[in-house]
Amino acid sequence: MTLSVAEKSYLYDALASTPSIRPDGRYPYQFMPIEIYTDFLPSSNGSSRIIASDGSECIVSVKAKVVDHTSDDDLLHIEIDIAGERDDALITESCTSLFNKLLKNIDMKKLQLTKKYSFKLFIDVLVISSNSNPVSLISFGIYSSLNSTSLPKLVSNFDDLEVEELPMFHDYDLVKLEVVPPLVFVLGIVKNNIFIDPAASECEVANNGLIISWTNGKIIAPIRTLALNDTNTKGFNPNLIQEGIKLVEKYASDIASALQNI
Amino acid sequence: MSTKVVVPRKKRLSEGLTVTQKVFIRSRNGGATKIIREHYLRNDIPCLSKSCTKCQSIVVPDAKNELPKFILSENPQVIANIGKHYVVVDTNIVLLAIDLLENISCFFDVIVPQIVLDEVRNRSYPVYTRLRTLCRDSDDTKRFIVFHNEFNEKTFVDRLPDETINDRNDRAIRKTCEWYAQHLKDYGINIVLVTNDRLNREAVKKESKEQGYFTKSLYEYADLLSNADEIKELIPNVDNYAESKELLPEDKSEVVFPEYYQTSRVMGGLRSGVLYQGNVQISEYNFLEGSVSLPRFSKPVLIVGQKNLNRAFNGDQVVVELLPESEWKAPSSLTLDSEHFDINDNPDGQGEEDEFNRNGAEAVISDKQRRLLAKEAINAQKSKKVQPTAKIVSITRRSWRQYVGQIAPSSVDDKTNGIQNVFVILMDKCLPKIRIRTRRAQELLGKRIVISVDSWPENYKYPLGHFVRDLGDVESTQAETEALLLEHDVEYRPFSKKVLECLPSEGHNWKAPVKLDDPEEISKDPLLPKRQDLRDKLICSIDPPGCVDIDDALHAKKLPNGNWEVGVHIADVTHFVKTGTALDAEGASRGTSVYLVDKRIDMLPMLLGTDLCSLKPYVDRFAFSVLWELDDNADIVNVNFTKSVIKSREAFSYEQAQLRIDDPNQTDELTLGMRALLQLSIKLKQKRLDAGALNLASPEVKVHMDSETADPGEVEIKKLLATNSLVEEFMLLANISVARKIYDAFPQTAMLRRHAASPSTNFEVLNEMLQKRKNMHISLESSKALADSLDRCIDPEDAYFNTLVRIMSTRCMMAAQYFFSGAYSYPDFRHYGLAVDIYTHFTSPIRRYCDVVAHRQLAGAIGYEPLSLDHRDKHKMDMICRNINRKHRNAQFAGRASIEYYVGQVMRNNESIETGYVIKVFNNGIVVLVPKFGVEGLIRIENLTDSAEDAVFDELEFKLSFKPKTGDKVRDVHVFEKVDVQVRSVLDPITSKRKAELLLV
Amino acid sequence: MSRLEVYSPEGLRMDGRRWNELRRFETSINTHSHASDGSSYLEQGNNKIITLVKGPTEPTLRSQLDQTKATLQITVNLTKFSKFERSKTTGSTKNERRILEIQTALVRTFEKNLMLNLYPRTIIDIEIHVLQQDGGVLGTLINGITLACIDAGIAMYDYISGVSIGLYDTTPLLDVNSLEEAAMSCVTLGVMGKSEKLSLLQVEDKLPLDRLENVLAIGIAGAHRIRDLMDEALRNHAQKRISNASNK
Repeated sequence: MTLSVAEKSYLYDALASTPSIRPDGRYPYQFMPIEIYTDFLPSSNGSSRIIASDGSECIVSVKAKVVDHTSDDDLLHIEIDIAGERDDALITESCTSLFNKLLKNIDMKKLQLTKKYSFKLFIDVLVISSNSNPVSLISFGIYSSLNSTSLPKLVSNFDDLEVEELPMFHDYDLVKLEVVPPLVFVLGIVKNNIFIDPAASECEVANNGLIISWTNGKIIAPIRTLALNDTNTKGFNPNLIQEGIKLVEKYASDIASALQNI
Repeated sequence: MSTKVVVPRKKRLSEGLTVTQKVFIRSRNGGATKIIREHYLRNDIPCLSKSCTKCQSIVVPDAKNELPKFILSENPQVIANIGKHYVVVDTNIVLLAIDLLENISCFFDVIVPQIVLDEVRNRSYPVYTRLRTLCRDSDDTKRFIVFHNEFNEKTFVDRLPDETINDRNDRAIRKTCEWYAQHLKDYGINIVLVTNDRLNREAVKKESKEQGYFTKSLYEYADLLSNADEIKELIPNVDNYAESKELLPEDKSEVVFPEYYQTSRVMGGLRSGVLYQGNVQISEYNFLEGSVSLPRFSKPVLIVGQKNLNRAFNGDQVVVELLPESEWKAPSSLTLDSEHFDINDNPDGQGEEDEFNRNGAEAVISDKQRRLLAKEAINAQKSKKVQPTAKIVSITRRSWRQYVGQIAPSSVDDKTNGIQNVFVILMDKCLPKIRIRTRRAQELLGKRIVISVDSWPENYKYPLGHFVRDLGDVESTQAETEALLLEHDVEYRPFSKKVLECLPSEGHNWKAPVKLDDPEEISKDPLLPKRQDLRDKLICSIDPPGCVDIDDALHAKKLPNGNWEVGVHIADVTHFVKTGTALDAEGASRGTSVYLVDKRIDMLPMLLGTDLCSLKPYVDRFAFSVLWELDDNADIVNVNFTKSVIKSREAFSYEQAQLRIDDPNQTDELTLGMRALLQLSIKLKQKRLDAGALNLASPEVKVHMDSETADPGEVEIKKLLATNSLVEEFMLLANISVARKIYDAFPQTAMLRRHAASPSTNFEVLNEMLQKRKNMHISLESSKALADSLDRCIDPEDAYFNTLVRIMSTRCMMAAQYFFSGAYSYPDFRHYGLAVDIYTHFTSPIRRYCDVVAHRQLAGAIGYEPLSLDHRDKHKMDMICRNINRKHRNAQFAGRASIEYYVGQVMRNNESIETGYVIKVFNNGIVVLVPKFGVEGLIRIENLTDSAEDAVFDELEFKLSFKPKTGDKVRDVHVFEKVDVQVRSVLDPITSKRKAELLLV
Repeated sequence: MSRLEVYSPEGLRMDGRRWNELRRFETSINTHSHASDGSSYLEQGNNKIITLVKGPTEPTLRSQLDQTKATLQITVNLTKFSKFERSKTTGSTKNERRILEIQTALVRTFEKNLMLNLYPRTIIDIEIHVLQQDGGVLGTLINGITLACIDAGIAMYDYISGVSIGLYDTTPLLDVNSLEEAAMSCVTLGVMGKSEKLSLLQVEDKLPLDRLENVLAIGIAGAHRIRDLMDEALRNHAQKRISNASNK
């Protein structure tokens, strides 16, 4: 999106005023309207499709495969494909690395089947279009797809260390996967104001951005800054981090419970 | 953990078509994949009852624009208490009692729900094929139909939460019955669900208070029939135990076989390399010893004892686990056969429990230890005489079929006339006796009967089976022949009407067209102009005397350039047998003609085999010709293939041909041609031998039948004349030329025949014997080396010794096999025995199906007519090859068994003393081969000496020392030793099998 | 050898359809109005695809600039999760030969049907995401593109409808699913409107020439039916848009 100098200046002033005035009239803690569908890919173990009102869209599929965890202990594999970007583009790689770190917070015990075998989850993210940084959208997508994931039910013995057994599964029944994935929030900073879920136009003028992750009622590492544009980026008051964290702490659980109830 | 069930949504697409999704988890190799498939439900699936007035209006035509045929009778069978009825069967009934379903005196108007068909297909493909055939050929007598309940919107059921797939499917079957009952209520036709599942029957009673239909067990149903007694006899065994309330009480259980491992453990073990899968082969000499050939081991792994064999039948596909090293042993040098083992066992239970109670608690061995054990085992095979042993932990595929046997007289209680348990001893001595329940035990004594094996529960010492059919008295020609054909799975029933309808309508009056350019003939056969007219060639055929199915004919002519034009003309079977016809399907399934001493079972109907296709003399016949230009050295200058019309000038027997060639007075052109052929064939043979072709031998004999009484007269060893070899050489040449041509045209699917080199391990024992006894050796480096070393195995004092070694070598060789060219890489096409790089069978299409395929492929290759897809598809070719390999083997065995039987009959009349050769030495006996009769027999130690315990067996020297019955001097018998034996034929009182009994003189 | 009853003697296929029946065909149009100039979401059986058409726009690369007509670029993204088993290839599947082949086939199919000469010096970029596949994907891709291009308002001569037909023994089976596709030789057709003109004919594996006519006949009939379904969907969609517009 390209804005004229006048537009930018108007926007900046509006956002920088106290209280800030966002172009679409949102409060600092408000998200753009989003639509989420889950389980729309029946051949995956879990899936979700999430569309923000600005047309950003992301599709997440979770597929499970049985692996021998004594030789392959990496039980979560995430791959992000952003349409129009190459696989080795900076944005793709930074997203992938962020989620690789974040998903380590998931309780891998839930994936264990027997003493030898576990499920390995393949989380494939396809960002069909995005107008601003997609990490928040992706995290919502992953959250709701994992939340809708159900895995085949083991029917063979748990103990297979002494005498090898291949795991066998029920031919129909599935068991709901119960993990709590982290959520990621993107916040925009304009002068001394901080607000959640910056829209594309807001990103254009933001002085800086913050990525804050949250799971199970608390903020977790990593917290990162994020340059939302090439022209306006500068330093910011460290208190804003505190403010941002407070903002997230206050509203994240509501979002999580909203996502959970889909 | 919460279980989640997603009920698939349904969406109506149009009037009468709804789509839903089928979801399931495919668990394979330890993985779990979620599979979803679309599933369409419709309202145009008819009930196929002739009485129905509703369904006629809903049917739609299929791809061939044919409407479904309504088959179920409007006037079905009436039974007591129920009246007119159709039968619905469940999966277990089909699997258990397919014989009964095929029986022509019960089960009419049967509805097979699709879900049952699917389950049957997954559990047993052969039974599925039989069921499908039953439905397809469902003529006016049996009337079987498949009802696609899964696709019918009125009968489809969704799976409920926490419902097993079996319960769901049972419910689907019940729903089908309910629908049918409702649907046919107005026509006064009832539905009877036949199921042996008690729970299912109870569910019926629970579900519908106003029972719309009836449900019966197989036994109950049979009981209602008018011919109940006859039918009940044929009910499989597991069933009547359960139903007749005479259940063997638990405490009476005889033995306890180890339980089979669970699938998960088997799969895990196979993957991690601690369990192995293979086919078990029960030793011919000891039915309590089996072996399994495994790719990782250089020699088969032994399985010793009843408990370790764990209910396996010969030929079953099994999974084995190695036993600890302390239990490894050498292959037993004992002989044991099932028929004489435990003859005093009581068919009502309780045998000895010796073996089974020995080792109680077994220590758990971890997989790691097992892997070490496997390594150890492989080493042991290489170095030591001791063999690793294993036990069977699972049976993946049963080889069960129908077996022929006879009731063991000792097991029959002649005081009761009611149902009793009796043992049936099978013809195949590698198999255990079968326990059957019958009311007709006394009546069936002394008869050959067909039985079917039903189950082998853990707590039974012997498998359970049921009586199927009575073949007739033991030793009556008819019963013995039929038994033999059944035992070798040879289809001998007359050709069906559908097959015969494919024959030319002119019958024996069929004639080849006089002129190939006759427009009227061309309108009937547009390919006619592509035929070459070879009626001017001086062609003749040379066959065994009395041959009526003449496959091949030959001619030779000197060319102006000094070379020879040689033609091999093969009966043009594929002109009459077109792909896709019932005739072709029958031929493909028979695979080969089977030659018995007194009978020939044809692959194709007589009309073709002995008349229209047969290259009879003096008449015009269609042929497929291979024409070479050969130089004086018999090298090929040129080869050409063409469909043709020929007229054979004469049909010679080998002897007649030989006489004619040898007679210097004969100087006509035909004889000259034959002489040329003979000369060329000698050169061809020499070239072949130089290349390393093997000259092997089998102890084949021929039984002469008295032409009037059809009684076997005398036995004769087959003689070979130069003319035999004449024909053989040119047939080989034709086969090779054709093989090259079709491989060239169809590199992936050409029908070929290969013969693999034998692994040296096969020859180990023979070589050891030769080394020890004769200081000779058979080299296996190449076929040439093998041929040469066989030539060197000569005992100057005994001319027969060389033949003996050849016979024994032949048994060590691999069998040749049919294959399609995509299955192996070119170097593996090699035919080791013939020493050629590529080979096929082309020259006997009347009696071998391989040749039929080769004919079609050659016709495709030369552009005569396009090749059918069936022979261009790897999968289909694979099926064809598997089948003809099996049929070919069976035909050979059947032929041999027939000779064996007749030799027995011949010997019955003349007891004599003959020369024999010791070919195997055991701890408790020797095996002697008698060349004159081509029979071999075991002489037990008890028959050699009175003091069996004093006999000494020297394993290294292949020697058995014992004190003969007459005389005091210790006698040593070595392998290869020439001995005089008294030969007579005896009827074994237990097995009613006649066999040659040999006694050392 | 698969021991499945691909086409039962009673004339039913493994999923319950008859030989000449199409799979469920459901589509929505203009699904991604923010992200593209024309878009469609199509479910043909269990194939699920999203098609986005962007353009005609100014090309970013000089090499994509054609003075006489628009450049057509088609990118197919067969997602790794689109089959039952997640595809094992590490890294990108974008440059796989099979995908390049599909893309070329699609460009060839549409090049002659879109009036590219009306948009010189521009690029029309078509992006397709295959979210789930269940056989006969190429045909589905063609239908998706047709719908999205119409939504984008790109001038074209006629609908192109795609469908795959298998030949089982001698019976042609319309609109094959993955199970059927694996069991036999298949042909994919792209048919122009209601004509019998083919803009694509792709044969996988071998097919006897003497059977081709039968196969084509049912394929063309099936494609015409798909054209009608697409037409209906487009008209419904247009109707809704018009009524929405007039209500405002």
